Parts: sequence; structure tokens; C-alpha cells
Amino acid sequence: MTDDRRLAALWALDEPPAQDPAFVLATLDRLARRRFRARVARLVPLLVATIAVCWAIAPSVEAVFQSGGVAVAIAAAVGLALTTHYAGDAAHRQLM
Amino acid sequence: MTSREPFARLVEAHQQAVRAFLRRLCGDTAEADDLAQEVFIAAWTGLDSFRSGADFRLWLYGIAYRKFLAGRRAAGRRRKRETLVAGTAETAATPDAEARLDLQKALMALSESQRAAVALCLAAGVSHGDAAVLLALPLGTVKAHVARGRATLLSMLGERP
Repeated sequence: MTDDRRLAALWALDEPPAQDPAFVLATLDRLARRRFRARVARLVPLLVATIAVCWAIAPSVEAVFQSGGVAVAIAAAVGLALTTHYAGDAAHRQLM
Repeated sequence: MTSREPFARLVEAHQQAVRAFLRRLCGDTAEADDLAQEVFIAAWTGLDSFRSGADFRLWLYGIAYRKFLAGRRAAGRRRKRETLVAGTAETAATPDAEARLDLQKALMALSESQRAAVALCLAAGVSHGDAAVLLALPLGTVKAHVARGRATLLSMLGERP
């Protein structure tokens, strides 16, 4: 066997398979996780801003409750629930 | 359509070449596959920087080489790899596995740039000129690396019966 043939035979031993669905899936999963983490990281400033706004308007909200503005409070709660649901869906889509 | 399908096709089409190149550079299959996944993610997220008309596989090799060099700088990586190779050597049972380990050991005896030049030009069939651009080395250096690397490999592997 010539040197070149010998080397070629050794390279062939070291070659990964031409088709490797497990590797492809693992890479897809890693990309999805990376995107999810990036999205969560992008949501952190929004969360901080939301908390700050809530903290700032807390006295006004408290006044609304005390003055019997239950409808406004329910509307705010529904709005918050919808927003959370939408954000959860978007994050889930990133994973798919 | 999500971006999963085209990304999956890209990985399917090039995984063998990129993983083989990284295996020869790293000397460790698990580390090479881990790096290869990072290469595909970097390629996908940086697809805009690919110049149309250029060789896509060479572009991937370039990303892989840079990832490999960055990984080398991480503390303890080299020691971990050597431990893994040594551990595998003790468990090589078949002639093929033994030959593969001999090749890995011989490759590890080369310098990083020599190993990269050998992996590109001898194993992957990349031209000396393209390898010189990819490795950011003068053409003469790449040719010398390939010639010396080949001689070293054959000399080390020639010790086997």
C-alpha cells in the first residue's frame, strides 16, 4: 500500500457518518435553546420597566380599589394575563 | 415555515466535513462535535457575512478553525483532551480503533497550524492556496506544514506493524 493510500484509509476511519440525524437534532436543539435564552435576556429590561411602572402607579391603583373601581382592576388583571399568555406562546414558538 | 428546515439542511449537508476537520484538529470526538454545533450556530446567525460566490464549505472551515483556536485558549481544555485520549487508548479493542488512535496520537504530535494544514490539504482535499487564506498563513508556510506534517505522520504511523 502506498503512503497516500495508507493515509487515505486512515482518514476514512476517522470520518463521521455522511448522515447523522442525532447530530442534526442536537444542533437544532442547541440553536433553539440559544434563541430562547436570547429572548429571555431581551425580556429582562421589559420586566424591570414593568415592575418600575407598577411600583410608580401602585398608589393610584390602590386609590382606584379604595374608590370601588373593581372593573378597572379586573380589566388590568385580564390585560396582564393576556400579555403573559402571548409572551409564553412566543417563547414556546422560539423553541419549536 | 420556521427556520428549522433550512438550518437542518445546512447541518445535514456539511456536518460530515466540519466534524471530520474538527476531529483531526481536536483529537477528541466529543469536543469536536461540541465545537461543530457551535460552528453551525455561528454560521447560521452570521450568514449575512458570507460572500456570495465564495466556497461555503471553506467559509465553514474558517469558522471552525477560529472556534478551535478560541477553545484552545480556554483554561484546562488541552489537559482535558489529553486525559480523554489517554483514557480511550487504554480501551481501544479493535484494529480499526487502534489505527484511529494511532492517527490521533500522530496528529497531536503536530503543531496546531501544522495539524490544521494537514487536515485541510491532505484529509479534506483543500488546495494549498485556499488553506493559506483560511489559516491566514503564507502559502510557503502551508506547503511546508503539509510536507512536514505528512512526513511526521508517516514516520509515526510507520512504527506500527
